[in-house]
Amino acid sequence: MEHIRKLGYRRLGLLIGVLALLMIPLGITNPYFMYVINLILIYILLVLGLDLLVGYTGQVSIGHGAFFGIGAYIAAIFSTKLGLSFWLTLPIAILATAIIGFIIGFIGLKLIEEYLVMATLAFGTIIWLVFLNWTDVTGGPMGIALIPPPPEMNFGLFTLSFTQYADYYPLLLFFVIVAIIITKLLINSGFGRSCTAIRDDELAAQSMGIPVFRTKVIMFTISASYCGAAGTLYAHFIHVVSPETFNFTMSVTILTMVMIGGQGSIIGAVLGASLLTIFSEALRAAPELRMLIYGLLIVIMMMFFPRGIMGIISFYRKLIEKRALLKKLKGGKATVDVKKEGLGYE
Amino acid sequence: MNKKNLTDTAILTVAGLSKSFGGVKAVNDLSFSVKKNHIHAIIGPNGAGKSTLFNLITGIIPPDEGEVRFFTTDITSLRSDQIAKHGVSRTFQNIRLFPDMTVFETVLIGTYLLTGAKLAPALLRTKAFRENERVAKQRVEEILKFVGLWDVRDEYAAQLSYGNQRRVEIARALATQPQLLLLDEPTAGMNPKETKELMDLFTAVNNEGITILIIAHDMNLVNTLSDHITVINFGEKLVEGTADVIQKHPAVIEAYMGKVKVDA
Repeated sequence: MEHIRKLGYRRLGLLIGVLALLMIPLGITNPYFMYVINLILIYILLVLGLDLLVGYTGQVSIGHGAFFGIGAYIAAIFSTKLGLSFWLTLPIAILATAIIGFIIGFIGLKLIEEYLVMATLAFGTIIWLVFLNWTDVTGGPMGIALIPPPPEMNFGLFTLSFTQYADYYPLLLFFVIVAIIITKLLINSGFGRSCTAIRDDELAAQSMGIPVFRTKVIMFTISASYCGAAGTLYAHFIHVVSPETFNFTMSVTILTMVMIGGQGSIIGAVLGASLLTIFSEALRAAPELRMLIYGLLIVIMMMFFPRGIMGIISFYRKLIEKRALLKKLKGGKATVDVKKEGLGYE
Repeated sequence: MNKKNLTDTAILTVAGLSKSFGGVKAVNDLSFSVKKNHIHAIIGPNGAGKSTLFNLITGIIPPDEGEVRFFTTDITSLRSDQIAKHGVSRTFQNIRLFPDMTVFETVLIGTYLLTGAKLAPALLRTKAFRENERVAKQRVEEILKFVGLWDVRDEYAAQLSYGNQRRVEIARALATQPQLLLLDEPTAGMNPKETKELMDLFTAVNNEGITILIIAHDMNLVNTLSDHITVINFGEKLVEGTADVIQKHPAVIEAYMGKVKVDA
């Protein structure tokens, strides 16, 4: 017990949570469900990446689907044409998307607000056209197929052979946890604080000595590389990449997830990715309807709940706290009253 | 007033500074210098170009002509974050706080120049990083106690009273460890009590060896606090000197009251 107390209940809770998450594949036998869960994990990576930019730094991009695509295509090309394994394509993709992210950020972030949105939209579209038309390298509309799974991993007790969906789950979960830890470390540092300051008031931030442009570009670069990593995982998980996955719709989907979950919140990112992935899987038969509903959702969320689901939760939490406080105050008064009554009877 | 050691070293020198917006000359060939450890007041009627002057000094807008020097360093063409790094900090006429931050978090932003934003130490949580964080938080604590906001440190800065919001802004500026503090109408809209409390705070800040350049309308404040006054009107320097000189100067009276008709 002493050990547990030392560890702290918070950490204990986390440990139990992670163990419970690891048990999921044992309970789910339907491979389709496993596929959806894995997809959710990949989306969580994307949303965490975009949220760093949108939620924590206040810079909106609707071109991050392109970074996802670049990561996926790099994994596809390097693994099918050069025979590199997943453990090599991953760092290559992260590095490449970081470099491209830096360049796009360096150019785009000279623009503000809606102009930045337009620039990232243009970038996303251009990259999509490259995927579609550079047939020699990207395979054109057909894309690239037969991307190998990651090499078999042996942990003594069990082996991940990557022959079924459930095998990918621990690997993806690992990367999601790593991404969450990195995100947490980043935002709880001088760098992370300077990003939130920029989001809240650029002029005031700059007057406090924060190099606004440089900070934004660095965050854009990090954000892009999250998406690159997600792309690599996606390519090795689905084994096929084709242009239509990484079009404008993908960028909007990621942004919607950020908005729905709640900007600037890790739990929000997880919630947003989970809900919308399940939702869009449910609406598989009608993809056009999906975009219509996404658009409507964004408008409604922006109008009534600009802080997303996490915003609603914190609103009600505060309300409950306030009520509890009121009750406590009233309760205190009541005991005093009782005493008075008692005195009266004596 | 028993004053600290006033020096003759110029901490800030403005030379021939000009800025036009369209056809309006907001600041016109303005020159003055602020001496170290002084409280230097800038006064002048509305629209005289005082806030523009502050924006020019802190690099928020570039001047058309002229030069700004901090000690002997030319800071004219630097960005505002670079100027802050040299040791010039400011508050804004319309209080600019971070809406989603508590008082403590807001002031912690001011320690950016101390903690820096290096990524590798942050990700590895190195010893130096943790030490920096600790020192930064300790400094925030000291500053909040100094300005009298320690008790409300966990409240959202934007929800405080107007006077306390101004204090947060000043605390944030102090967290950057400035040598020169620029205050843009810090007591505008304050009641006499709040004004008095803020004046005491300015004196305390000044006694810590921080030079203050203050824009103010409140003549009582200006006369009580300042060691030196520069009066500007239509972007040009009208007069400068000590409070006694300024009060009696005909040009100042004219700028504020209009021309005195001697014949009437």
